[in-house]
Amino acid sequence: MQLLIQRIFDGFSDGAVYASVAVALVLIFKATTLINFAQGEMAMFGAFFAYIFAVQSGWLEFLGNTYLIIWTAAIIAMVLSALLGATIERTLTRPFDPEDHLPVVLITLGLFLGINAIAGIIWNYQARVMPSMFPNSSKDKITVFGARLFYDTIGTILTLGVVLYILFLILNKTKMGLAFRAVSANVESARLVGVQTGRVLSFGWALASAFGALGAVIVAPRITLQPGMMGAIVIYAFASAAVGGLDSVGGAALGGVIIGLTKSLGNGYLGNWHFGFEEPPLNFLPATPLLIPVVLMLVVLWYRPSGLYGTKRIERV
Amino acid sequence: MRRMKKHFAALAAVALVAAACGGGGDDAADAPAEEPAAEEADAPADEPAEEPAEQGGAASEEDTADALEEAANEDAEEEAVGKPTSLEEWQALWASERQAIIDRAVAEGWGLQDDGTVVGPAGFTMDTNDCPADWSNTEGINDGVITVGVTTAQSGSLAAYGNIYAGLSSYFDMVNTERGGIDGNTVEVVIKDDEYVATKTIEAWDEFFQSIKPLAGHTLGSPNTFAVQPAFNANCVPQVMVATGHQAWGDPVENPWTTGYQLSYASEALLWGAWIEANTEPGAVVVGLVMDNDFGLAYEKAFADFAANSDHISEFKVVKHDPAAATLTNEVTTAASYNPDVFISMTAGNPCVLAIQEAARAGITDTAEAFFTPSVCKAIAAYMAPAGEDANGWSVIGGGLKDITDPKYADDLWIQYGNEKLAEYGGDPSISLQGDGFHNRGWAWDQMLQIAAEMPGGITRVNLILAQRGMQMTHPALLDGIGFGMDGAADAYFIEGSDIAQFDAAGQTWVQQGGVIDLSGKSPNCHWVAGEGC
Repeated sequence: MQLLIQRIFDGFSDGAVYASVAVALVLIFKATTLINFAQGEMAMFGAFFAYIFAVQSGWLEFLGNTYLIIWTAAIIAMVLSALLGATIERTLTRPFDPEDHLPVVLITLGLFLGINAIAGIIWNYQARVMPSMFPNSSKDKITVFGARLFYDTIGTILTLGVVLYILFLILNKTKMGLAFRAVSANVESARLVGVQTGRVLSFGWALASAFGALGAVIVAPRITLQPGMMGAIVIYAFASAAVGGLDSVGGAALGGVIIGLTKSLGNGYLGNWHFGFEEPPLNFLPATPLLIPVVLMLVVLWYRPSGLYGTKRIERV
Repeated sequence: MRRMKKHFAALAAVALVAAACGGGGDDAADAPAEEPAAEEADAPADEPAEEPAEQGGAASEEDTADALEEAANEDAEEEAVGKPTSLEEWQALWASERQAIIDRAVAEGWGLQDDGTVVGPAGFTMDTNDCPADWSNTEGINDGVITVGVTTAQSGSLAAYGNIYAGLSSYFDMVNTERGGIDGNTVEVVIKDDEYVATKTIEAWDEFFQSIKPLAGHTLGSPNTFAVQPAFNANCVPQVMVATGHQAWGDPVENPWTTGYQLSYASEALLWGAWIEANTEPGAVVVGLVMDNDFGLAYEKAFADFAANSDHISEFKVVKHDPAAATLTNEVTTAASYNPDVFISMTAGNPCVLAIQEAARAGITDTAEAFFTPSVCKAIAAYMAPAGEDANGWSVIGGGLKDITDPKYADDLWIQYGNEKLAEYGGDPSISLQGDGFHNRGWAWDQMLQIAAEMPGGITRVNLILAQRGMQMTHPALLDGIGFGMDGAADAYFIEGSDIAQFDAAGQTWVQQGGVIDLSGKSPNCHWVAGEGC
């Protein structure tokens, strides 16, 4: 029982991390119908922005409290990342024909490599200690039937909830959000009714970059801050977004949790069950942790190509 | 839009399945033949203990236990007698040691013979008649430039190891600038990033062999080194001092062009075992967190063999992890569920840090009697410091190397000198692994090239191999008492000694437990057969 609960907690813990990056992926997809392959690297860069303010420069030391420093640094990093995202959109993607996706996809792939290399040059590949936004020592936990639930997991989930609520407000209660949804639904129609699509696209990139950076700041203390930190996370985030729905922010968050739980429970149990054999036949699963989430994703996409909460599009022919 | 999504879904699915299947795949797929089946193994606790088998690549269990006991009774702080006290004295010592090797080479007639065979120390031989028709003994030396090729991870989860070669490049910048190179030739180190993916190592070396054609090459990582070892030996190109401790590199008969360097993983595993037998209660349950590739499997196999013959260890449980894993939460939860008395992290790169942090969160470090991190995770700035307070109390069989970021070596002559020079030539002494490249490997490569330069024929591919296989020197970056050298076909391992240390997170230092363990010359050679071992 304890192990089962622990695996569920582990699933939520990892799932919240995947969800935070998946939400950023979905925001860009909603705006452009494109997957930004550089999302993870942009988020990593954002985490380094926070590191500069919180640790490297000592600029925020006057605030005194460690948590106040890292929260402030995270907000500054979100702002800087938003500017970076908007700049990338304006300078690198907007000049291309929005109907022709290939050049923009190639640009995001190039950004993936470029940002990683630049980060390596600036900060080196040696792992760094990133302060956590939540109490995160091995003692900072509650115990439920012997299973450990850490404060930083609870904090990550709560932050994700707040992020989703803020996004809901932005997208549904503001003019820019209305424009964003209009562009997301149909770029041509939005343009015809006077929406400045370029500005909206920049807004989408900025929003995604800011929340991606927040996700990276949250996850960095757990996986160490270094240029390659998001490489493996972003794969799960892609799977999460696909499962939840590529154009559904809430769906992506849910997808992250589903992927996290599937990975934890699937690999933890299926990999160790004997099924009547002397050796567990699926004992390769723990060493290939992506396999079960991918199978789940395929099953979901098979039955619901738009994902669990993605919009089913019907085109008039 | 929907079509787009379908296309994306298909693309993503294919990519993710490939990634899933390839997670651990830079090992088995590229190893020379069949890899050992992944064992989610318990050591057979209730099987009768067999006669301890001697493993290639490591001293016998008896010698290991004796050396450990002897070291435990020694004082860690004991100063070596006659140790040089100035850089000039060090230089004089190395010069005399090099001369002794050269004298021996001349006296014993080492070198390439007229019939194409090679005579080396202690029965070591090679036959260059098997080399490609266009093979040249001096290829890679052009217009006063010696080109050496290196593949390493410079991106991905093991990217930190790329720092080793930043340090090595700085070392040769220093040699080229201050000494005009070696024997009038400057040394150029060409580095390619293989991301610790064996297929990329193969691609990189295809390019090296076909276009750059270096005098010698170097690879980092067990799966990567396995992947190109046949090509190096078929092309008769020295694969020098590889950055992996797999026991397979001690094979001077079948793979004479490949040389290892650091303490073998088999030796390390035996030392874990001997330590556990000497320091824990009988019936110990040991859990290993194993990186699922040739590197991790080398540790796993050696320790499983030991555990199978141990009356003391009741169970050896293995939990494997994907080398590219983003987190180790699930794996360490599984490990904790076995209630280990001893937990051993058999991993590398960023997972070194994750294993330490997750073990603390899972409560393993509260309940286990001991927990070990492997020698490849010893670097303080790279792996211990990022783990924070959780790193406190972890033990290591350290392989005898001094870490340049360990404050206790701040006054060490060679570390001090090296740190100044590293900074002067563009490196960063606050990065542990740059010290591995500069103070440790850079020095050894330098000696190898200097010895080869003085041997009959000068710097050639054959002489590089002979210089290594006859080298017996005092390494300034190793702890006092750790031997450094090989002896032809009789001894194919450079470093066979180690320290045992425990990490003090408050002081950010490794606290050595007892004296050093020296097993020089006691590890039998290892002809590695995939799926079987030595």
